[in-house]
Amino acid sequence: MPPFFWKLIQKRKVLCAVVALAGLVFSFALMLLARSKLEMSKQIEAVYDNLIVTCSVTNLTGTQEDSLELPNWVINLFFTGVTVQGNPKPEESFDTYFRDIRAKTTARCVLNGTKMRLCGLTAAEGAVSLPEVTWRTGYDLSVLDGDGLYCLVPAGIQGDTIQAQMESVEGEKFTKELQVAGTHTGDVACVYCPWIFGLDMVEKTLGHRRADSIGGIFVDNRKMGVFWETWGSRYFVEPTREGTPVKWEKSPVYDTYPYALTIYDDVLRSTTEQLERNQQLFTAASRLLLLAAFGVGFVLNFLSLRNRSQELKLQYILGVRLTGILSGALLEQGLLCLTGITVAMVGFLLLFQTLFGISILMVFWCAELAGTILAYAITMRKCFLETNVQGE
Amino acid sequence: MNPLRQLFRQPIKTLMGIILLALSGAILCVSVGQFWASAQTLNATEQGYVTVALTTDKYTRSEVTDDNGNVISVTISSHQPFEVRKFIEGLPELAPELVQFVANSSLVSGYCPELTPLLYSRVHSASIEGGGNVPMDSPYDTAILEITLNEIAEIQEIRFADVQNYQIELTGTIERTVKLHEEYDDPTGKKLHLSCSLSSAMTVESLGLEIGKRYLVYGYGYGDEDWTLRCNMADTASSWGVSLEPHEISWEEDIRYLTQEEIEEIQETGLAGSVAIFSPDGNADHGVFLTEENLANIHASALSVVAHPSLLVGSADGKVMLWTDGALEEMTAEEYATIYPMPSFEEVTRDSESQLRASPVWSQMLQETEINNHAFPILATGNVQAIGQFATQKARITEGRNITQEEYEQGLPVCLISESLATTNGIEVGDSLPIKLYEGDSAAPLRAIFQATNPSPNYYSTHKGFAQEKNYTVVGFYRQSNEWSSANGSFTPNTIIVPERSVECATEVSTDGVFSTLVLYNGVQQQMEELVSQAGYEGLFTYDDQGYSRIVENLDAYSQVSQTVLLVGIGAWFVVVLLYMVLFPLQMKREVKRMWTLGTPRGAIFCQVFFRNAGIALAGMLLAAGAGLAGMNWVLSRLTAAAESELILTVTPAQIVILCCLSLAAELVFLALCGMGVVRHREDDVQCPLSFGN
Repeated sequence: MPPFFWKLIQKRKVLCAVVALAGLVFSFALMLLARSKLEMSKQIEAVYDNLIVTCSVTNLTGTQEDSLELPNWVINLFFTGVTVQGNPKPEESFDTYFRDIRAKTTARCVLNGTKMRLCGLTAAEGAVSLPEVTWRTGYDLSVLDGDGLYCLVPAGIQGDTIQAQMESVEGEKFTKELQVAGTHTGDVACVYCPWIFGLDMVEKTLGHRRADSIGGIFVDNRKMGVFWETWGSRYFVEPTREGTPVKWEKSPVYDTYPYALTIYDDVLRSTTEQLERNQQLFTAASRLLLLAAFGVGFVLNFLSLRNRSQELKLQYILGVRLTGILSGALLEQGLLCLTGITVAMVGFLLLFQTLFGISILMVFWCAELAGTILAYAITMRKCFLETNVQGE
Repeated sequence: MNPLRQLFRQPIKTLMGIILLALSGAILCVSVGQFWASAQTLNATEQGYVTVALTTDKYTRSEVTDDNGNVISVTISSHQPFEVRKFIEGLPELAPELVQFVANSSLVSGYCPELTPLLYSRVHSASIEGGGNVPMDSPYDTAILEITLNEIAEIQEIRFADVQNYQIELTGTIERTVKLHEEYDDPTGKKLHLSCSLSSAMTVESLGLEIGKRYLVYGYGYGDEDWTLRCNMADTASSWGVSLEPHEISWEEDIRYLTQEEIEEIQETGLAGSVAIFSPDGNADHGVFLTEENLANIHASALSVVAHPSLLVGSADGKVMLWTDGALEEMTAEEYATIYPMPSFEEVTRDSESQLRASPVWSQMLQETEINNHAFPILATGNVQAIGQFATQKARITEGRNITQEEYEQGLPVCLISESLATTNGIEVGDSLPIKLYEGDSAAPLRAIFQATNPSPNYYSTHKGFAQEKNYTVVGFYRQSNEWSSANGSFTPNTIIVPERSVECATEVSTDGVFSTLVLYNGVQQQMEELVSQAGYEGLFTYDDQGYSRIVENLDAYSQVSQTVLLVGIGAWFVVVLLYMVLFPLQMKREVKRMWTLGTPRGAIFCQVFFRNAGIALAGMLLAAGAGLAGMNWVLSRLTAAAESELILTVTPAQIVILCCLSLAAELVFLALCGMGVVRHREDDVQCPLSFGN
């Protein structure tokens, strides 16, 4: 680089500083804009991850999700992923989309001569539907997920254990001793027990497994659509106002779908829709900001070169070729812009340990050079030179 | 020199200056616009979450313990204790930074002839277990029937809470159903079990009852005993694993009467008294033994009748004491019956229809029964989302829309009804429902029991009449995940939800159940629980915020993104304006020097510098305002089209113009400062007024 080049820069310190500063500020701003877009997307993804979306099996109108007498195939879907136990399970199946299954089943029993309901619950269901519980020492909600013989009895029932008398489907009476894990303030005719035990008792007393209600929490909210297309719509319909039965052609047992699957995703949908809509606005706004930044870069370089028009024309008079003048101007402006961009990149890297939008910076740099070229073209246009260079 | 004319001497430079300032203005507008839109979005998102504190049963329990501290019995009240209620009522004042407001709803009854309510008793479900919050079918249980009296039992004395009552059981055959809720099966031809309350002075003869005669009878508490028996049998069959719907039961095929031998065989067992067995599938292993009493309910209904209306409000010595309008009023039983007529039996002496129409009392009963059969609980609220079931997502709006804030504030006549009610009655969103509101009459013989959960409408009182009449527009349907539930805070699918201010008559309120919800600011559950625990009421509330606490950090981070872009935009605007100052006014030093040398006054020089550049700034501002408006409108229209719905994001033209004006004002201030600086610099710089140079 000839020393003359540096002398020229030193002569126009302010203008050079203007070009470099513009490059620095707008480069930093463009990178920040690119980072902001990613950050916004990240937060929307986090909302998808953090909000809980549940679903439950309901009647066809979606107005009843309890006491549905759900057969074994529905229970198997949620717990094992196949409708018939023993069937080979595919890698991705119905149950892999859910966690914390909420399920309830009810058997009849007699306790101290009084007819009672024995409600088997999963811990997830218990967390939602159990009335106020006073747990005994060493017990908590997790007992419901085990296969132990525990129970929650109505307040007022004494003792550490209870003897629940039941009658099997063959007519044989039997008794189960259950450890009292706590007392509840709910229905006085209801004893709560672990889901597995409850289901077992239902099978013994009715001859088959049956659930009152079943549902779950989606593992990945983004896959709700995939779940429904791949698995949900195979076995259930969406609830409708009229509850009109829908033909189920692939079922060997049912003529129509007996149950609906209601997905409670209103809150997630309304939240993400609003955020995504704002994100679209932000994307559009950031594109406008990008264009404005390119425009500023273009105009600034144009004006800074136009301020040197006298100098350029003098160079021409002194015999410097037009291409030489242009390359000199481009070199100077380009280096100054690049300096500003580089400083911005270093600063950004130090602040955020990463870089964004390098391609956008290159476009910005090109826009600045384009401004330089246009300013040169207007300043050094032939007709102007021919008529006015004498005056200069 | 005209400074504005000078602008045209260097048109390209001037144009570039205008474009530069326009771009800086556009950057500012877009940055502020996206921040404003983001703030609106987050505000709307937050408003979609309602954090509610719902009372638990913990403090409604009272336990009786023995000397060893063991709990002997537990009583659960349907209301919170007085001190707890006072505490809850005082919370908005005690903790205004935590409690947004107490969402109170109130109840009034409404008559809508175009809608037929749903009956709970027609729902066959074993899930709706007993409890104090079970939905009731009042006031749909009044009936006017024409019967033939078949049996009259003896008058029986019944003592209840130190009060002597008399009752007589009658049996008849229903010849004609004059007035009964449409949802019940037509009982014509069925048996009717009547339970008639009498006063001590009454006799069968005084009632004018004779076996074999036809009577018009008005009563309340109608029950389809046949349907109830069918439901019980279906539930029992279900417990054997037999799937059976109540209407599928055929008494003729599914019941077998026991032989005399079988009856004698079971005499010594717990099944003594059984005379038949119900076996739906003919399976001898499963069956329900039925007594005569059970069999009597087959093809039968029940109705309660009262011989004199004063018996329902408690009369003594022919006098009735009523508490009306805050005052105790005494009147004779006959005076009471004049105000509140309530017939019991009337012999049919001619065409019953014309006999009904001719009698003012029976006509009134016809009208009241008709109104009762189309009565609905009207829940007047200031915020649907704050109602417990909606806040906990057990109820949601599935069609149409929610009631808007404007409709709440102005009390516009709009309403939400349940999907089930809409489907049953063929109602669509947008339909208009004429609803006449009426208040309960505490002095009337028939009064609904007020429940904070599953509230039901009152019986209509002709004496009190209607209080208000309006056409309500249906704006949306709601669906409940369990529409007939006895859970605390439930309401029946007959409930019509309206804005509180649209109801101008007296309403019933409560601090429990569906009527009162504490609405907190989002994200303060923990502080609220700490406050409640400190007051000694730990566990009084459960909280539900629809998941807000799980995403509040994400929303904050989202907001910070737009804040960052706003700051960047303002910074970029500032830098561009600064650069403009360098490239334009500060480049006028030579010119200023010449003018000063030529003796131009300072003020004129300043004006030259200022107005020339102000012209560019003004043109730039106008261009920025136009570009900003066009740009934002284009973006918003594209978003609205993509969303296929109304956007909540609004950036008004006025906001953009104001922003551009502020930007222009700032630029003019900078220009003025620059101008003064340039002038002062040249003043100091020039020693010889005639020197020229760069």
